[in-house]
Amino acid sequence: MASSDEFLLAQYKQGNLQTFRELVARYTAPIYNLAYRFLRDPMEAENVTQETFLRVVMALERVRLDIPFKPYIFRIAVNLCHDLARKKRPVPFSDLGMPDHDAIESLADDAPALWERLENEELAARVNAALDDLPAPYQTVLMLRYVEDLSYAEIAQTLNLPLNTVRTHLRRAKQQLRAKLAQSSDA
Amino acid sequence: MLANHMTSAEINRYLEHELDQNRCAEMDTHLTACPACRARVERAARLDRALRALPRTQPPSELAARIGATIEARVKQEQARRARVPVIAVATFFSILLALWFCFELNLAFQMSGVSDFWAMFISYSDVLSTDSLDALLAVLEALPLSEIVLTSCALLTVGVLAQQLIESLRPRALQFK
Repeated sequence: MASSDEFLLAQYKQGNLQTFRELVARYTAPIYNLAYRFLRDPMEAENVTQETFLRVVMALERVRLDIPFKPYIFRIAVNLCHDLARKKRPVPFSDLGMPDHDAIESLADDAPALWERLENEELAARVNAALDDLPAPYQTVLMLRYVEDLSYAEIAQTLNLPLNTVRTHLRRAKQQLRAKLAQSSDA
Repeated sequence: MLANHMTSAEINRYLEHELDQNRCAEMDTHLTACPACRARVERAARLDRALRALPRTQPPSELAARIGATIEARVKQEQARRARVPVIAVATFFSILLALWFCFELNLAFQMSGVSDFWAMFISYSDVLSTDSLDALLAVLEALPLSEIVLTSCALLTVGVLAQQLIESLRPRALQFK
């Protein structure tokens, strides 16, 4: 059975450097995948992955972790990605206002849209493309929940948000995603 | 019951198994009887499956090893930096003592050469500086304790350099971003 992250960290703090390599091996792919989704640049994704682990190591002696390691490392990675994405695309966070929220809900929830009749492969490709058009906070919650498989509580800890806000973000993110899928299918 | 359709929030919580047992049982009963809600739940579940099936981008195979090596090098660098701190702190402390000693010596030299007296007189009677007193001023300049001045300046410079090193060593290293 694999050791828990917290156990490996405790071992590392006691001087066993090898255990941090195990954490690096465990989280390199998820962090890289997350960073690549945001930044669409393999070099920047590598930089963010490395920087995330460096920040963890450098902060270990100063910071007492009050949340589990997994949300903690994702929090660092998400912050780095958002910082870089903000530099590349200046206003990704301002899209959170949802004036047409009700319209989207009815559009998504009434009759089955055209996209819902797509084959699974086609649907997956459309979802993948539509996800890129969502505002960064919505992309983040969807990625953390469905790709990185974090629980609601872990997402709340990662993003430092109340649990109910995470639920709302996820619901709205999916509503926006359905709306984007409907637009792309109708086009 | 049938008119009481499930909201999107309820559908999400149902699919995420976040509802308590009673509410979940109520939903199951409702779904058995309500084809509209059943279809909505199925559509939502399909979107969830599509999201879970999103492609994962794999990092280069050697990335984890490279990061591990970078981190170990960085940790060693950090340890070396911390090991230097006591040495620099002691050196700074003694350089301050030395600088104080030279300042004291310089003060004595000023007093012995009469420069201090001349300065005090000049401050009190600024009109003392006349054509006649220019010779006195030159004499004072000649009497300046140059070696003490140079030594004290060097000692103060050393304090400055070492103190700067100490502050650099104590400050957490800035990382690439932010």
